[in-house]
Amino acid sequence: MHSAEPEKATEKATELMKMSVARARLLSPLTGTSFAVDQTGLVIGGGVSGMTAALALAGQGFKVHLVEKSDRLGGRALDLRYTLEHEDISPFVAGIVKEAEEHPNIIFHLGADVTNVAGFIGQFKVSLFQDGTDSEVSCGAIIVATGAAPAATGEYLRGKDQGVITQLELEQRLQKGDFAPGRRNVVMIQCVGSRNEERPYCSRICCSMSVKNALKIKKLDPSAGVYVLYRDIRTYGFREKYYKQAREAGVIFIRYEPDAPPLVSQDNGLVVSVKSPDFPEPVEIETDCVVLSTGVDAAGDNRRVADMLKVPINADGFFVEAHLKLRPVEFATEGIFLCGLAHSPKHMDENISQARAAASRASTVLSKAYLEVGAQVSQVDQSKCISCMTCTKVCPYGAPTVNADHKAEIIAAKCMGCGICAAECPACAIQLNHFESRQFKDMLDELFRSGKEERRPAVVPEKSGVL
Amino acid sequence: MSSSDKETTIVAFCCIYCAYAAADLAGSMRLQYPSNVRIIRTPCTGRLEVEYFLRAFENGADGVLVAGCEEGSCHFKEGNLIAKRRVNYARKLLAESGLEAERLKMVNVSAAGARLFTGHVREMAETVQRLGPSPLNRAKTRVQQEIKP
Repeated sequence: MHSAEPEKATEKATELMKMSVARARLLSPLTGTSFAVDQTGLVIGGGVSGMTAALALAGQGFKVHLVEKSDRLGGRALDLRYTLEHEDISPFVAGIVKEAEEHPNIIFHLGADVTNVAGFIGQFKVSLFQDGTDSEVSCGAIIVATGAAPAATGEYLRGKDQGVITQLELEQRLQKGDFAPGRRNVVMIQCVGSRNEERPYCSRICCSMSVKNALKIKKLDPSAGVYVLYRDIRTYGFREKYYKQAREAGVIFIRYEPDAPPLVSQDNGLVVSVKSPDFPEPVEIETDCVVLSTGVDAAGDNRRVADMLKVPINADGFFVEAHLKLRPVEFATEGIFLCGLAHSPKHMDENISQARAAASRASTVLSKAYLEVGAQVSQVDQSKCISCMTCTKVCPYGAPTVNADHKAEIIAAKCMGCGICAAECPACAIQLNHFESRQFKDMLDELFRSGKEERRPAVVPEKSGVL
Repeated sequence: MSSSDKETTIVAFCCIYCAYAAADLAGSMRLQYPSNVRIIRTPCTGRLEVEYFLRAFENGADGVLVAGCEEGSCHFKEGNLIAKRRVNYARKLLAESGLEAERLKMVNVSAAGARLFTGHVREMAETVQRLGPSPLNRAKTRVQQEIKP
């Protein structure tokens, strides 16, 4: 973050460390209370990712609620026909749907919407709306697998000329056998509505999808002309092999620059003209089929789901994991996990791996009969309490109560550890464990302590953590 | 030594559910931002007492940022709104005592708002640069004292 000024960065690190040490001096051992875990999982989304996660949990013996918005399992995989590796997708999807449907541990909620989420790790209460009625299910962990949608576009005469189709439509036609290439050319345009201001991210799957469909056309009719107009080919990993195969099969890849996208006109049949930095002159291709690679859009529902679960989504509408590398399939909010296209555009094999990872992380919660939390809760020094009831008014969770002695008391199981009461208490009678006032103050003092001032003597941690 | 030579310090109180995660993400993304910010983690901005802000300034901070969740998405429902009220109160106290109220600012950042977070830090650094070091800033003398035998 401060690579341009290494000395300043070291100084920052040193001071942050000094502050942490100052705080560590005042930390005291905390003991939490334990509560029962509802050893049931809940998966939002019945696509391949959601079903994979649900099956992985169910296979370990946990009951799983699978909530699907539509009335059919399978999600986006139902639109796909075959993989880059020439495997049929439909039998795989039918297989996983059958396996899920027959699994005794999976409870289905088809055509159901999640309307509210309450509770916390181990004890979530999820409200569902299904067939006009509200219901509530309990679970200990939630996996978000809400998927994504193919991006729509109006560019390149899409919707105005029947010859302009999307990669998904091409794939379905190729599989059905009603796509006759021959004679004329097929032109594929990459990055349609992607990697621009509106949708700045790379959708990751479209390059491989074009290569897949281009190879399929070449296999059906080796004499067909297939042109792929691209910005960068990102057939990453072992998918590069298929890009090479496509080039060897005679697929022609033409690069274009983002500021000079290809032009599609329909005066005398479809004509695509493109100005490539690799050729001195613009190229014109007569065609009867233009195939657009439109990328992946985040599911429109993500914002609503994110608000209910109190988890973040990024500017593009995809869910954001707690940490890119250290906590890749879970949210910062404990007990909530994510996988699949809801997280970012990716291939099905990657979605399946991620779904299994999410289920594996969720099972670390569900496998415990009891969880220990609540050490970081507020505590009242009752000798200081002036019975003003401020804490009972400010707490968002109703954790403080006034006991028979007219003193405030905090119910640990209800306390979420925000510290609002501790900051608000006019008598300074409340402290939040692990985030005590003196710890904040010592950090601030240490940061600005001059070299000459004496170091404070070591302190023996107090048991209560209350000043 | 002119006052503008002084090293300035910005203290940023960051909520663990949003701004602290955003600052962490800024690191993962290798975003460049002013190095004179010192981050203090808090479980919720609602935990922060007015006294902490004043303590920071009393000790010599030139700017204090309070970074909480976006309004309406506080992990603890309304902690950030309570923090906003306290920050506004502290700003009045600062103004009464002769310090510029702009030195204290509440901002709202989501956990994914790495760029937004670094932008807020940069903005505060610019504010501090424009206002000059706080009259209570002892930072430069501190460095010199440490060098002298």
